[in-house]
Amino acid sequence: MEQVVAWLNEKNPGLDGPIGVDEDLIEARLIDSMDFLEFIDLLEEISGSSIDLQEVTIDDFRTLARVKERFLGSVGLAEVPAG
Amino acid sequence: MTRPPPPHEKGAAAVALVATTAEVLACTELDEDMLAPWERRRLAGIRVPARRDDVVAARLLLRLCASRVTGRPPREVEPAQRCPGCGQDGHGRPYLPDHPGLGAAYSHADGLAAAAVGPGPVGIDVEPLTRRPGPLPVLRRLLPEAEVDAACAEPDPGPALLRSWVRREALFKAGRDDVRLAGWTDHRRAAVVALAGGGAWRGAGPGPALSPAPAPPSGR
Repeated sequence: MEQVVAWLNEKNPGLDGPIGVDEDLIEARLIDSMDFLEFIDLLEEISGSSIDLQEVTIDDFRTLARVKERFLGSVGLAEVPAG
Repeated sequence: MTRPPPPHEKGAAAVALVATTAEVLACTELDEDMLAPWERRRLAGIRVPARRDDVVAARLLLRLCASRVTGRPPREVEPAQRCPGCGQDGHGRPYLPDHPGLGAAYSHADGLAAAAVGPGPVGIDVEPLTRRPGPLPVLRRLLPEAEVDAACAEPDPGPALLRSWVRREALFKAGRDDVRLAGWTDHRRAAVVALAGGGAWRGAGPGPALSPAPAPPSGR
């Protein structure tokens, strides 16, 4: 997940605090529609698995917790600091 | 500024506006206090101030578009949103509850805002001219193969891929693939825009209407 957080921080320089694991990444405008392209590619690289775009919804990318559960396994999460 | 339009009639033209965020926020016809409480609640969650400004600008520009189509003052326009997926209000596709025959859409990106209102389904998307969608393997799964191949045949595929992307986004926002689609480049604002649907369009040709300072939103 560190790679995901690092990528989000790179997309959003100067954030005023950490990204919460249950923070709504879309409502917070931390990622936009075009960012999803890179996000999918990053998740596929980390997981080693292809994501079937017909089988996912926007809610699968809404929080770090959901992203980890859906794409990167179910290891326990802690709030991750800003990079 | 262009003249206000006549009251909305069936078959009236769509209005699409593209502006920088700064232009919209400086526009004397518009004010953030026009936003509804539910819109303000959504703004509160936006972490990056510049992006909050972009969202505010897009929501205000939508009101200006609706005003120009309906003849009502921007302050009296009350857009709503409903999600086509879950059916809940407060997010998803914009619409005008008082004008069910009109479609509405807005877009915002990196200091730019765009909005459109017109008969039937409407979608609009705007991106900075310099932005590049990618990576290509993911893009190929989302864009028409022929368009990606054509873009990749060019010495620099980036601009063509960007145009293809904004067209896709405009169609997605309209909720229809079978509506009229047009794209243009706003060189003054360094923006690429695509507009989907909306019936007949007011204005002739691509590009913004010239206007005196302070620069109001461009019209089409």
